[in-house]
Amino acid sequence: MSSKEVNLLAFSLQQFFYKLKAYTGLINRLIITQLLALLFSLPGGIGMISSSNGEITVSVRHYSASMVIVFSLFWIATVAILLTTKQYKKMDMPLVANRLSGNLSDVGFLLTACVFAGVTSSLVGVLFRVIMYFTFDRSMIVFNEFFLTPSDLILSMVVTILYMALISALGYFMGMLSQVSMAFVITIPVVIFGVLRVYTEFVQSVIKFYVGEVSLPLFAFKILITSIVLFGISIVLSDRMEVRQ
Amino acid sequence: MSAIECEDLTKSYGKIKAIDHLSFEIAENKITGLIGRNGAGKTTLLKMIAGYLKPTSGKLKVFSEKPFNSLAVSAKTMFVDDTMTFPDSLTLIDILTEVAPFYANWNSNLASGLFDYYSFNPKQPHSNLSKGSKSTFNSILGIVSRCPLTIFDEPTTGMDSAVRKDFYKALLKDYLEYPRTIILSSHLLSELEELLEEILLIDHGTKRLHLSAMELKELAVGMRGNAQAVLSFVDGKEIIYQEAFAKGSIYIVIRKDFVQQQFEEIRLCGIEVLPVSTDDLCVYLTAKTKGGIEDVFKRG
Amino acid sequence: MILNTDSLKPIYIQIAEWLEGEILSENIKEDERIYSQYQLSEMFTINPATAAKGLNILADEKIVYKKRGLGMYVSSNAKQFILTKRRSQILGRMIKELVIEANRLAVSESELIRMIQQARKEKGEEQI
Repeated sequence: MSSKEVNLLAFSLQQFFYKLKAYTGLINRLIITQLLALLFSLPGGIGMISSSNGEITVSVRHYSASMVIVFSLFWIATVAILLTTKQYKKMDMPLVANRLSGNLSDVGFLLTACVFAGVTSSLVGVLFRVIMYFTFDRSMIVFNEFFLTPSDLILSMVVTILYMALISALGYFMGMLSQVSMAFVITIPVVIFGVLRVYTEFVQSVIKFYVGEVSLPLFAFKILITSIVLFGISIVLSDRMEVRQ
Repeated sequence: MSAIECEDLTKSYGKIKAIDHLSFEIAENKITGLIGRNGAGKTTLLKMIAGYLKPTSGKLKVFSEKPFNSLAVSAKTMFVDDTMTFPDSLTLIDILTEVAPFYANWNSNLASGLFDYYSFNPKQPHSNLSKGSKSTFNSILGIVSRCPLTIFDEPTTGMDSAVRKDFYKALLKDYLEYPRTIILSSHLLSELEELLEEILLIDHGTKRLHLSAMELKELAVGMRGNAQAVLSFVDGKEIIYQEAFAKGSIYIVIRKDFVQQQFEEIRLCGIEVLPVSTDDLCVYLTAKTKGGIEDVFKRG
Repeated sequence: MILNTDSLKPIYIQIAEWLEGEILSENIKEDERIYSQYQLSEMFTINPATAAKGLNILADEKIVYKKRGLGMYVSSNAKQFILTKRRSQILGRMIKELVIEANRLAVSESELIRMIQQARKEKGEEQI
């Protein structure tokens, strides 16, 4: 390893640790976001079905902590985009950094945040169940899929983390595109909506590619490759830009 | 070894040349002042040296390396200006603690000493500071980082006069203890000039002068008195600046060596020989026209 | 002493003259070490190169000499040398300027001498 590479690694790592401490404000917002999602998930649940055969009516309220994950995904997307903005890139200036080390430390921070968010959202799911258990009328709870085994919990954490990684890579990529040219800020949403409407089947198959994957290792691999590609392109784009005045 | 080598450097934004075929060399461990009017290109030049902007053409080397996007140059350079920002989650004391490990020569003792001296609130976030306090805090970073190349772009913005004096003293003292290459750009040349060893004057992106501070101070002299008498001594040589006032009297600025031999004669004619402040001299050397603002009022 | 940054006289010359004054008043004695460029730099908040130039002027005139590795020292007989120099140069120059100004103001020679005697008397009284 040449000394230049060692330097890059060392300084990227140093920047990474710096960002862990410096961006705790963003992490706080995650906690708040997740608790908010919890609050929204509790009353009423996410769906209700009711069926009746004339004399007996059965209503089922479906509760899920999936809101927490959805909110967390939005959060990581926002953070990823934020990190590409001029405002945040400017904060790298007083440090020893170049484009590459700045991006590497960003990616490190994002992935750490994904792990953290994945763990906390699963834990919030547990909290959710605990609240339900103690506040609802227990006789009414259908205990199918209620109690989580440790392996369930870990699985959900891993899957959530992987999804968050993908979304963060996507967010970082889109943010970086916008930095390259303001035009992207408008064209990206337009293109997305356009694609969604016209090529709905294509979009569905793309989503199925990830979501429909049954094998966990294969799923992880798909996410890994996609994220690497997205982050990679972002880094290359960023390397060529100047810090604008 | 030179700290900074610059040859035919150009930076264009579309058709506008912010820096236009600029060449100069700055030797190591000297304090150099970068002087020029607003829009002369000082900040653009400094940002290129610090590695934030990419030159359009020409050669620029900082410690023998190209500065743009260079980790090696970034490790040796500290750029302080009034737009420095830090993440909100970091308090002032956090900033000093977290930035320190990046720089090998960081002087923590001096950092805490200066921090206490200025009575900063350790728990305050950087963005809440007033303009002057921000400049003061940023200047601490500039001094204690002890980077081989330390650049200050208008470091005294918003500072009151007492704080400015303290800054110059602190900078000088630490420079004496730990020499390094320092570039200061400022409007307030008159306060700064005693600190400077060299002065680089730029105008519209080009080099107007690069002299030792001592040479610049002795470069020109002012003569004031009867217009005819004064001009008789000028004898066709270049006048740097000329201003008419009072009946038949003018004030001119001319190179000292043109008239040095004749000082006594000049005084005998009743012409005053006056020193020219470097501030004024730099303004005259970069003036757009030969007249002054009074001419605007005379036109009516 | 406070440096006059507005004067026609360069700072390094002011420094040299101040040092001469210190030698004259024996604040720094002969064969004693004189302030280093770094000390002067700190004392007056000026760039050390400027201070160095001031010291070099004195060195060129042999008022101070360099001891290898130890710094600059005041030469023996420096005080006498400075006295003589100032008499001819500075005082001489002042007298010339005095004469020019007196001529401009149409002060006669006898009037001028009287003014000088008066000033000496007043100064003498102050010191008692």
